[in-house]
Amino acid sequence: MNLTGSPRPNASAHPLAWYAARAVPWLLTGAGCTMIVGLMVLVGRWPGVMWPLEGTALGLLAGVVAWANDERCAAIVDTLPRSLRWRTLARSVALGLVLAVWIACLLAQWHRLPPHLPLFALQGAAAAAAALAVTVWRRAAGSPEPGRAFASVIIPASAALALIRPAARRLPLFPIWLGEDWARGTVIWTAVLGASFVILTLALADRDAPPVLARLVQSVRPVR
Amino acid sequence: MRAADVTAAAATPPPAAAPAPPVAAAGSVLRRLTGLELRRYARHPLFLIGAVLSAAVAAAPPDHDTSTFFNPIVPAAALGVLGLVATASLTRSAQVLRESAGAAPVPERTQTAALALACLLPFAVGVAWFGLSVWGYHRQPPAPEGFPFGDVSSSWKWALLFGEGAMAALGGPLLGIVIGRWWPRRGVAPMLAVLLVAVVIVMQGLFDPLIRVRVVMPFTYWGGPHGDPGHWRILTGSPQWWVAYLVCLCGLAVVGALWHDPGARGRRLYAASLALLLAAVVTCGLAMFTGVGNVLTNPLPS
Repeated sequence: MNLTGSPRPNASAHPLAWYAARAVPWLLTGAGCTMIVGLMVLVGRWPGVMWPLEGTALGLLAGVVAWANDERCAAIVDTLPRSLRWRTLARSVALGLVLAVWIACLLAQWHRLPPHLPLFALQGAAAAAAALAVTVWRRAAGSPEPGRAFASVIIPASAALALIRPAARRLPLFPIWLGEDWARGTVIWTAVLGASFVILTLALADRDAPPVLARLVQSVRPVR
Repeated sequence: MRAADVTAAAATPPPAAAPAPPVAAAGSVLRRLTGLELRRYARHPLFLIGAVLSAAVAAAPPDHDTSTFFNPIVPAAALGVLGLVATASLTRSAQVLRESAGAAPVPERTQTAALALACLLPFAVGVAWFGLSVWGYHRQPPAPEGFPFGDVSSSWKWALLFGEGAMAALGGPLLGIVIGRWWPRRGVAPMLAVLLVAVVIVMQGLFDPLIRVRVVMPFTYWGGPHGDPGHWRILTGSPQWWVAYLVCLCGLAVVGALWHDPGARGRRLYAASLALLLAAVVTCGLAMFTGVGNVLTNPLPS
């Protein structure tokens, strides 16, 4: 295969799969997934004591997704005909994998965790979406390795927030006890997920297309 | 940090008019580099997040049952864990600049020493936190049925607060320099930080078989709730010796980071590392086997 993503004559794999297999940092992704499993096993074994590791695992999940969107040779890759949208789609295999690991961990231990499985699944989806949105947005702005910076902040910051739990009543990011405001936690994580989708959509929007407002005006009053 | 800052500091020779002795010149370079590294640390997003988190939680009133004795997790997490990743990143970026400069006029050990001295910034914040905790304790001491209870000495209480808070704020960033020097690969520092958090939680004294050996960890608890609400316990060991052990660990971290530079591996560093290692083993043993001999549970039998 050449740098444009076109397969070599003898390459049978789909270009997306071929690109994903080579572009995603599988060692980091694998190590991250293994650690998420390990952390969630500890959480499932002693949820009351190990709960800070749930928030830590969420930060790690976001970090793994972020690392997968680093493009070290951005100066070259950005000049090639494969768009950021295409490349992001290929690299999203890491997101799918890490989310699958997260859901599998939750399902394997659902009887040991508080009875709020949908919220925990939402947390994973929102953390992954936020990482994808921020890194793709920074990539679209020209930063070659936004994942490295994002992961360096989000992983330790999540661990610190999970350990400290500042203002846990007003900001229940990682609720555990039955008396906590689970509904507010759901609202917070839904907002994170929604905001991530908006940022992602804007970052991946076709730059050459006319603005949304202009298209709306044209649809009402066609230019003669 | 801007590349210009580093290269300017690294490349600016001492004043040519009056040639200074080599030792004085080295001291001057170290001072200037330390100033630059301090500014870099102060502007690092992780330090700013940690400082804001610490300040926000410090504003909360002391707990009725435990006063400020379970608050040191805040500087430990916000300045220690975040500081570990911050200094690993600072060390790595400094190394990248050194390599891109070709033949750097400042040896690696001087840069490492400057980075280590810059860790005094989070330590200072940790010490301020310690002062606030002591003040909070005096303002609102814990209830008699709370924690700590019995006749534990004042030095036991202050050592607990200082070791869990201020020392963690120093030790985390120093460990980050070691990681940044020896394993400057992407993802290593955040993952090691996660591993450290997981191991520390396991070793915080909540599992009875690990109570005695938990003091080998750079952060651990010296008491905690005991089953029923309102019942607390004090764990075995001596937090005073534990603080001494943490000082040795910090020294070993500096030695470990300096060791990366082959030019620094002289007889003095070798002797210092051996002495620190020996002192760490001795103080850890003393922290484990002196002080409170058995786990105490509140209320104490009269």
